[in-house]
Amino acid sequence: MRVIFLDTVFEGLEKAFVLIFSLDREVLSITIFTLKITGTATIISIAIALPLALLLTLRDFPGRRFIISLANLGMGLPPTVVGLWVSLMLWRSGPFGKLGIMYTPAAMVIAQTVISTPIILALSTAALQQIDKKLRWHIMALGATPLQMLFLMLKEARYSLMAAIMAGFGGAISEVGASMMVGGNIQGYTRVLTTAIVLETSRGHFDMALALSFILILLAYAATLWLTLLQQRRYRNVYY
Amino acid sequence: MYIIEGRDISVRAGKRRILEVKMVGLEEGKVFSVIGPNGSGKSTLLRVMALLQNPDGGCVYFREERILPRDRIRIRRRTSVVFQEPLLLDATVEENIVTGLRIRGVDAASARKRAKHWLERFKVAHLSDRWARALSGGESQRVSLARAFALEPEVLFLDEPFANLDAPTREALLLELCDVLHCTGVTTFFVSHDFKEVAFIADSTLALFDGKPVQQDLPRNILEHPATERLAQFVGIENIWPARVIEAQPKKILADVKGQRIVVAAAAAQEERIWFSKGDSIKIALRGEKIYCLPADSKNVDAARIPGIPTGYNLWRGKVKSVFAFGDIVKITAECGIEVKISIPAGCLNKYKAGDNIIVSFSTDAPTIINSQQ
Repeated sequence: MRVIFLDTVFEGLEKAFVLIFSLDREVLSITIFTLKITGTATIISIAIALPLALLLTLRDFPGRRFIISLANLGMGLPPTVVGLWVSLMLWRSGPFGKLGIMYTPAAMVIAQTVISTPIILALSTAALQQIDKKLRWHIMALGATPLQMLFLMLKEARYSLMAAIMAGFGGAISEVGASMMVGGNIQGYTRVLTTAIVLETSRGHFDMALALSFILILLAYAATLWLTLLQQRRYRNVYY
Repeated sequence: MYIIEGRDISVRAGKRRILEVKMVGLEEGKVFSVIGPNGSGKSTLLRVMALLQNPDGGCVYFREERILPRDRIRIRRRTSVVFQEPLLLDATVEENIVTGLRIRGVDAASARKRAKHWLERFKVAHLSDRWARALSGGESQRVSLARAFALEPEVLFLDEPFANLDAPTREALLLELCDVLHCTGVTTFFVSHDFKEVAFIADSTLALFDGKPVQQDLPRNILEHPATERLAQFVGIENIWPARVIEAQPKKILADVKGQRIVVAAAAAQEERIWFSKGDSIKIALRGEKIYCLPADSKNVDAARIPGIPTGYNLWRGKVKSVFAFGDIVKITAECGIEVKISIPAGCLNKYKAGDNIIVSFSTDAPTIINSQQ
C-alpha cells in the first residue's frame, strides 16, 4: 500500500517537472490566467482597503469600530460562503444578473476581491494604527500637506502593509470554493490553478495536479520570499 | 512684539478643562520656557502654540497675524518641533533630515548640504548613512535636534527633549543646545519638568499647574521666590513652614514658626507683589542648601551666627533625626522645634549622625515668603 502511494507520488513528481520545464501550454495558460485574476483582484482590494485603512486610522467617526470588526471577521470568511453570495448577486435573477458576468473571469475577480479586501483592510489598519500618534504630530510639524502626510504614513508602515498585501494575495490565489462556484472551472476561460488541481485530482491525473500544485506553491513562495528579503534587509539595517 | 502669541487658550478633555491660559507670548530671539509637573498641560500648550492641536477656545497669532485653519501649514513651515521621543522616520539619518526640507520645497542638493552641516554641528555626521531606528537614545535626539535646526525655523518648539536621556548625555546635549541657540538666536519655546534645565537655558519661564499659569517670571525668581506652595515643592524647596507675622517692617518681617522666630528680608522681586501686616498667616520656604549647620559641641558656635541678625533669630539648636547620602550631597533632617531639612556636601557625611545635637542657621535673605492664601 505504502509502496503504491510512493510510486504514485514519485511518478507524479517526475511528470510534474516535465510539464513545468517543457513549458506545457495548458499549465502555462492556467498559471498566467491565475496570476491575471488574482493580480487584478489584489490591485482592486488595495485600492479599496488602503484608503479605508487610512480613514479608519486617522478619523474617528460613528461606525468606525464596527467596520474594523467586520474587516476582522472578513479575514476568516469561508470562500464557499463568498462564492454563494457572489453567485446570488450575479445570478440571472439576482440584483446584478443583468450584467451577465456569471461564469466569467469578471465574476472570479469580484469573488477574490471580496475575499482579499477584508484581509488587506484589517491588517493594514492594524499596521497604520501601530504608528506612534506622536509621529503624526511630527510629520504635521514638518509642514506636510494632508497628501504628504498620507504618503509618509504609508511609507512608514510599508513593510507591514506589504505583509498585508501578500496575505490578501495569498488568500485570493489559494481559494477554490468561490472561483469554482462563480467561474465554473471552464477550460481555457475560467480555469485557475486551484480549480484545475481539484479537477485533475478527481480525474486521477495526479501528475498534472502535482505540477499545478508545485506552481501554486512556487508562486506563493516567490511572493513570500520577496517580502522576507525586504523585511530582513530592514532588520539587518536596524539591528546589525 | 511677540513672534508667536496665544490668547485665551483653553483645551478640554471630555468635560474637564485641561488648559486655561489667558496670554502667552514669545519674544523674538528669546528662550521662553514652561515648567510644571506631569499632566500640568505644558505639552498641550506647546502643541497648541505649534499649531498641532486645535484649542477649544482662543487663538494663536503669528507676528500679530491671527492664524486661521487655512494658514496652519504655511505657518508650520516656519517653525519646527523636537519631541521627548526622537520620532525619527523609518529611514536613514540623512533621509530623516532631507525629508523635512523636501516637504518645505528645498531642492535635493541644498537639502543634503544643509543636512550635512547640521549633522556635523550636532556631532553625528558619521551616522548619516545609518538606519535611524538603530541609533542610541542620545544619538537619536542629536539627529532630532539637527533635523529641527536644519529646517531653519523662526520658532523652535522643544517638548522635554532631554527627558529620556541619561544624566551625562543630557548635560552634554543641553550645553550643545545652549551653544546653538546662542549662535542662531532662534526664538524657542522650551517645555520641561526639570527646573535645573530651565534655569540654565531660559530667559523667562511660565509655571503651569493643573493647566493654569501660577507664575511667569525670570527662571531665577521662580526658583528663589515661587508664588505658591506647590510650585515651591516642585522647584525643590524642602522646608515649607506655616508662620504668623509678628512684626512687619519695610523690607523685613519677623515671623513665628511654632515658637521659633525667623527674620525674613523681602527680596526685590517680592517687594512689589506682596506685603504683610501683623497677624497675617504666611508660609516660609527655605532651601536646604541655604542652611548652615555645625555640631552643637563645636567650640566656635559664633561661626554659625549670621552677621546682622539679632541674637536668637535664624539660629536654632536641635537634634539630628536622620542622615542620608544622595550622590554628592547629604540630606540631614533635624528636629529644632520644627523639622528642618538641610543639604550639605557629601564630604561632611561623617560629621553627623542621628541623635547628635546640632546648630542650624540661615541668613535673612535665604527664606522666601509664600502667601498662604494662594
